[in-house]
Amino acid sequence: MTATIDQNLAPALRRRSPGRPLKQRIVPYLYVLPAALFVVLFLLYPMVLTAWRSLTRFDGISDPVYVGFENFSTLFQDPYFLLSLRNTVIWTVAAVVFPVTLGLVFALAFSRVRWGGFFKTVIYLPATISAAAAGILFSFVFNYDNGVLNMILRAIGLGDLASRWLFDVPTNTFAMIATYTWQQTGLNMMLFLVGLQGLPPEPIEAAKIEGCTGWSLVRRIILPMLMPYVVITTLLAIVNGFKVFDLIWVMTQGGPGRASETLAVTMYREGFILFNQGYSASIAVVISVVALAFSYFYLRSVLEQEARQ
Amino acid sequence: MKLKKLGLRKLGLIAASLAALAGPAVAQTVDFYHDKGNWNDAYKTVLGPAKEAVGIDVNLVPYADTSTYQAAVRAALRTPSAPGVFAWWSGYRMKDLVDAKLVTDVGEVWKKYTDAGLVSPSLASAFTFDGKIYGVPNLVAYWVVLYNKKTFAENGLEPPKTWEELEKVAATLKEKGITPFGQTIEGRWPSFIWFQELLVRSNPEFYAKLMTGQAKYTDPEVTAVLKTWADWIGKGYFTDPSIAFGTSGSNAMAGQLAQGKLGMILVGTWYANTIVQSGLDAKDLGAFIMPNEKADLPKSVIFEAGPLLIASASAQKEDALKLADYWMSSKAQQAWVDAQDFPPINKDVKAKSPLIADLVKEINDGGYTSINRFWEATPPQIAEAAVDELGNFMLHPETAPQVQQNLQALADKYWATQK
Repeated sequence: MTATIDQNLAPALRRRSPGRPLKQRIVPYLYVLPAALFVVLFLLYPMVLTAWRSLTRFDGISDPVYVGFENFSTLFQDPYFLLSLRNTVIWTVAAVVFPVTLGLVFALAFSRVRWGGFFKTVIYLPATISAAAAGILFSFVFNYDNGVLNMILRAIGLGDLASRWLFDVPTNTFAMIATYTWQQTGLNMMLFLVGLQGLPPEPIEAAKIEGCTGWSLVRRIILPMLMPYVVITTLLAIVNGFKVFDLIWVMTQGGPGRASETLAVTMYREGFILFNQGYSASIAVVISVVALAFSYFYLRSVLEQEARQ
Repeated sequence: MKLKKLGLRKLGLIAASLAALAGPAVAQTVDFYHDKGNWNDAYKTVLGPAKEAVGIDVNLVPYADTSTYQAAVRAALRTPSAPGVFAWWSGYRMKDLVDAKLVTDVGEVWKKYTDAGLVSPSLASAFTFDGKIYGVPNLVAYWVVLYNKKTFAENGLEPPKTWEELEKVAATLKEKGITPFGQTIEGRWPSFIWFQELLVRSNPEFYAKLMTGQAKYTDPEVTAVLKTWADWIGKGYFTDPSIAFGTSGSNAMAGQLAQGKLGMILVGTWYANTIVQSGLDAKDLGAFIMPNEKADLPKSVIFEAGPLLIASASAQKEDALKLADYWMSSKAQQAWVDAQDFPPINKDVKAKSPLIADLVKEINDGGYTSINRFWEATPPQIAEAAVDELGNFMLHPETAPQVQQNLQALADKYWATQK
């Protein structure tokens, strides 16, 4: 069916026959017009506007004043931006190391075991709730006075270890990364499971016959074959880790002070609390450029993999 | 010609039918934006009767998140679709809207009530810029110490009248295993509460200068305040600064006061309801104004005034002015006070609870000076960053000198742009 449509449509779109009625020539474009308008209005226009705003001083009320690249030069001298950048790098590395590694470990562990389905469901369930909901939930767990974690520590005689998990630096960043890991691991595990199911059984069987089992089988046979999935999951985790916002906003609002802000939180604070919207737009541009770069590599990997299949 | 006549006749008939359908008087709609989700029902109760009283149908538009609300309102203010009425913050937080001529002068509305002796003109100070008044009061709250009367009685304590008595109350409660005062940095903004109060209690004149950039955060007056504060933190007079205050749902501080684990909370009078909802019987909740550190200082109380503003560009501006007039009336204000237990601003209106009634009487009869709260008294560019610095101090009091330096750097940066 698809082939039939393609065969009919493609030449029709390519062919330029002045003899054909105008209506017939316009119709295909009308089909894509709503989607194109949507993209222009809600994606391209805000993108261009943000890029323009990043070159202005704008408080959301008065007319924007063009200041050239002043916002960008201020950015790299602003200690809060540099702290935020450092936190973002920590987040990005952690978002790869923990949820991706654990996702891979769980996928390998539960792909062919009894009760695997049960464990997979349990690990995947947190991925079905939003990051904000996970943040609220873990705020209760990490609460100093009556949080579950401190209550357990006090109950088992380890009260000295009870801490202000969300208010001490850098403990709070690690507490949030733990929450993020809890929420994201299931999703990564599913991606790896899809990859594992698609692996050809012959090389694995052959390796087993040759006596290659356990960690050696994983390291020498399975992991190399799974590498395209590892790359895709890692790049996706980098992009997600780089723009994490909701979980941090719900759990610490970037505090105490501005100690746990990431670029997305700094952008929000500058734009919607301090109303330095030009400056905020310049942070948005930095985030977009980095995220776009990683997205490019991600898409290239996906497309290459599809081409191989 | 005949056709033209027929057309006109038809048009006339349609117009007549429409007029008949419309009825005698159509209520005008005024959009009312606010970010106080839990006040929405109270607004409905107060503003619902405006339809009959002044022919205005109020369309309430609540926002769940304050930042989103501010961004949405600021974006709309320059357009005709700007809300007729919107809730905002006073002092420096509305100054940029006034400077950009985005809000309407409501002096005439005030005049009606001040001339009749119903509302004190001094109340308008927080909404006045260059002699013009730009808002009507939405919320007025006093910042006082709320305490558990039962806890005080069980420990033989009375509300303190002097600084020495206050310190004695704190020491006694601490000795009995009860945390004397609540303080928190949860939600960021509450970290200014003790800073403003300790400054006002030690030197209100200096506080006023500091708020307007005529004094420095590195001055000895601030050093002394931070020293007292750090000293009290060291003595264990405060709750842990991570305690939940209600800004993110749970509210351990109010709960601890209700359970008698905490003696006192320094906060706006609007928090009384929260404590009652946490389980303390309203009759067991008391309030006192914190005594001055030095006996010769004038009596003063910190107040918070939140205005309702009218957008200049709004197509609903004229009807919004009528609504503001209705809002200030004794009838609407009585309904508002009954719904919210706020201190009444209209002299014909009676306070809902004895706690508020006694407090208002004490302030009116005692000759107290009202001092604007830190959050509105100093520019938001300073206040927003200052609460983060003060939060750091509450967690690590030993960082006081660095915190003072950072605060002054913030202030210098802002005031340099105002010259």
